[in-house]
Amino acid sequence: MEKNEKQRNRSLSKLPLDLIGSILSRLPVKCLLQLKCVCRAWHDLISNPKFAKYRLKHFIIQEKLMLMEHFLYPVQYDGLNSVVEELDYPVTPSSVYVFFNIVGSCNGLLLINPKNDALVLWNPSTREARELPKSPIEFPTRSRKCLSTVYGFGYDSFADDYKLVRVVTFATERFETEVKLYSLGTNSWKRIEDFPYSVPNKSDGILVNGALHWLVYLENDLVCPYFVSYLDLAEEKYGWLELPDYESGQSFCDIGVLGGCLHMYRYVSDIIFEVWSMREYGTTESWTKFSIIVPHMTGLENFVHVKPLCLTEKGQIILRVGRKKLVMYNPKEELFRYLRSHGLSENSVVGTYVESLVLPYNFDVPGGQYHAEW
Amino acid sequence: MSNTSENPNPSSSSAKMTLKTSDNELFEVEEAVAMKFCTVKQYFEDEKDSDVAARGSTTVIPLPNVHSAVLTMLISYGKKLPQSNAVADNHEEEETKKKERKKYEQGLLKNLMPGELLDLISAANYLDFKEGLEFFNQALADHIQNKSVEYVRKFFGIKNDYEPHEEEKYREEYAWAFEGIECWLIGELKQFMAKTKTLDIAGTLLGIKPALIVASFSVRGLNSLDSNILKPEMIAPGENILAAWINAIGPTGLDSNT
Repeated sequence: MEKNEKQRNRSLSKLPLDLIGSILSRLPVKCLLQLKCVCRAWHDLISNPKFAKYRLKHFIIQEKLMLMEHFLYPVQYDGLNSVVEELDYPVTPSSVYVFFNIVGSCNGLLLINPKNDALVLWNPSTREARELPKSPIEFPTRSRKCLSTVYGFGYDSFADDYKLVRVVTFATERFETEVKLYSLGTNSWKRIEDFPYSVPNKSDGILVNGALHWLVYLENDLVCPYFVSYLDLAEEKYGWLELPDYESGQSFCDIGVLGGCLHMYRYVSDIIFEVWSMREYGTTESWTKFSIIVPHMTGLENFVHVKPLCLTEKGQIILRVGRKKLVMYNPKEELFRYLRSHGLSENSVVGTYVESLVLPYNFDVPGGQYHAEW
Repeated sequence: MSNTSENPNPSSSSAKMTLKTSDNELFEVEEAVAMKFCTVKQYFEDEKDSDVAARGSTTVIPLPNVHSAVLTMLISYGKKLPQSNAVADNHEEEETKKKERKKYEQGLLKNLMPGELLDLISAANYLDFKEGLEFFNQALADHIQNKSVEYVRKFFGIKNDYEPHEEEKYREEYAWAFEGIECWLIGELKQFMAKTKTLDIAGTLLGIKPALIVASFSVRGLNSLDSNILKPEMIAPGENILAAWINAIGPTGLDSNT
């Protein structure tokens, strides 16, 4: 066996760093944070943003839920079992009744809106947080009143940069807007072209295909009053997408993202919830529908609020039903299962995120002490 | 030991290639399998360009960085992969093959020493054997996932170049990453998941002074029931050990035990 030992010793010293990198990128974040201790080379390897990027690109990472109220609860569902932790807020709320909201989630970074104009970028897996610089609102001459403020957060793959968008709509006759873009790379805000369509509905931008999407409501079109507007993060230009041709009538619409595809949700009746999936981004014909019959949930009156959250590894959908319940829906078998939801209350805010090593700040800012090459 | 790979389809005419390992062993391998090693493929294509007449069977491709034991395993893994020149199977056959492969992979990993994994990865990297590299990389990642930092260092043969106070500072800052996490599993059961520890067998230690003494109340000799048993099978140090017992009868059988 002496020969094998010699062979082994030779091969050990030969294992190049990039090969070690492709082995390590398969490990969960917590494990990687421990392994930073192994030696300086490994510390630099794991801390390098390129490693974080490589890991995101090559390995499918399961989405986790973040339940937010008094504490933060990252939840991972594995079948029906859930693994829940309890975390403290990265930013201490100055008042217990301050309204927290998750306004964006991308590549493991969560954008939290703790107070009216404050924004915090947080990576729950590495527990690094950073408060973003504020930007004043440029009011138009005729009004100082805001009708709504919505945000969007996403990744621009062309510039390798994370961008945040703030759309403020003013209470003027023609609903003027102010749209500002923040870039993580330059750590600065700038104003871009105003939102060209009418008021985006009050939810934050849905990130699909490198663009942020909002549902826009056209009052004068009764047949099909909704369409989807988007802001392409790379080109910083607007566009729009058509919604599927659904039966008209009173219905409430919403859009979301599941498994990387744009989805539209429509409440047809008390028990039928329609889900449309845009299989091929940009092609109106590719909208495919499947309906979910929502079983009668005891203790809930009138209409049930249903919000799909994410897809599991096995293609099941996790939904939030009626604010207090989490349900897993199997589209193939059309089965619903209740999930244990520790920490979920009526006032909880639920977001989804993936585990990653992405930093909430720019690596090259002064003060960064690493210089890894990989 | 010269290894001739078995041809599963004796009827089909598959070209063979000869590979020579670092320890001068010759391996005859089917072209379809050998082509999965991109380094070999590249060498073969270069050779083909330069020598029109020669086909793979007469060329011996040297692999100075690969040992025969490692190549044997890589070849057998390569054979289990779907062959690019095979006739497309129907869905059922595909599923059966997939299951077979999974079973084979599990068996392979069970019998593998962790150190051998490193050799396999190194060789697969040299040969540019993408599927093999993917499989063994994942196997290694699964292996080190719950291991301690010390184990990983030893496994890869890495020297810790941190000062003790630096490492201490990092561990303190990221104490939460090193701890077990408090979690709620289905139901309201609260469990602390402990960090995995690995026990390394130290082997027989000689020369320990003072020598341990068996306590006066411990068994040390012939078993009273079966005199063929000359001594206790296992003995461990310690006195006043707390152990569980049933309520019906105490450990010594005396009434005074509570």
